[in-house]
Amino acid sequence: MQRFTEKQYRWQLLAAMAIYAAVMLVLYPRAHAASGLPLKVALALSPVPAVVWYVALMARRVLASDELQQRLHLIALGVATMVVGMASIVGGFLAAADVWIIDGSILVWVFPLLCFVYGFAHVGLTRHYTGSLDHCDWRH
Amino acid sequence: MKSRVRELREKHGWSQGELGERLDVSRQTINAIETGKYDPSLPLAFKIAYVFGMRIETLFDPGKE
Repeated sequence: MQRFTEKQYRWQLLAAMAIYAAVMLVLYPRAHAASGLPLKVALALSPVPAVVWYVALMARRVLASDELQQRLHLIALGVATMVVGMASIVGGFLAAADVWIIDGSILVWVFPLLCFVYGFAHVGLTRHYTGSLDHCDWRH
Repeated sequence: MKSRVRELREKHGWSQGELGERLDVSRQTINAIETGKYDPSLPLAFKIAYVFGMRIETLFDPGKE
């Protein structure tokens, strides 16, 4: 079976992000003005396929990694889940007590924040284990 | 855990990348094993021992734990 290389991952990630950006700029803004519930729902959820593609890419990347890489990915994911989970529960308590008035649209930031913290944690862990930052040069 | 991986790799004249290719792991993983920052799994340790034609206990020293 052919390996899923870092180069393939990067190109596909770039494609997924380009599609996501295009959808967010062209399709998603039309959701507010759309007439009819099905069309409104379709436009509101139009960025989701690109995000699903990204998640699938991440899963392929982790599965194609060696044992140390998998360990780093999974620890980073654990750190990100913990940080975002804690932030969500703190925000949730504040919102429920009417201390912080927010609407549901803040939920769109959960996934980007998860990705950001994951990336940050992954860089830190890679630096700790390998002593360098050429983590992006994973061969597989 | 101390290992003789670096010593044996250099003796064979292999780079970390070359050894990584033989073991189907990344160069960074070899580096982490050599510097003692990562202890390989048992299957990988056996693979390393096989590549160098040695017994696993002559390659890795768990030290006093």
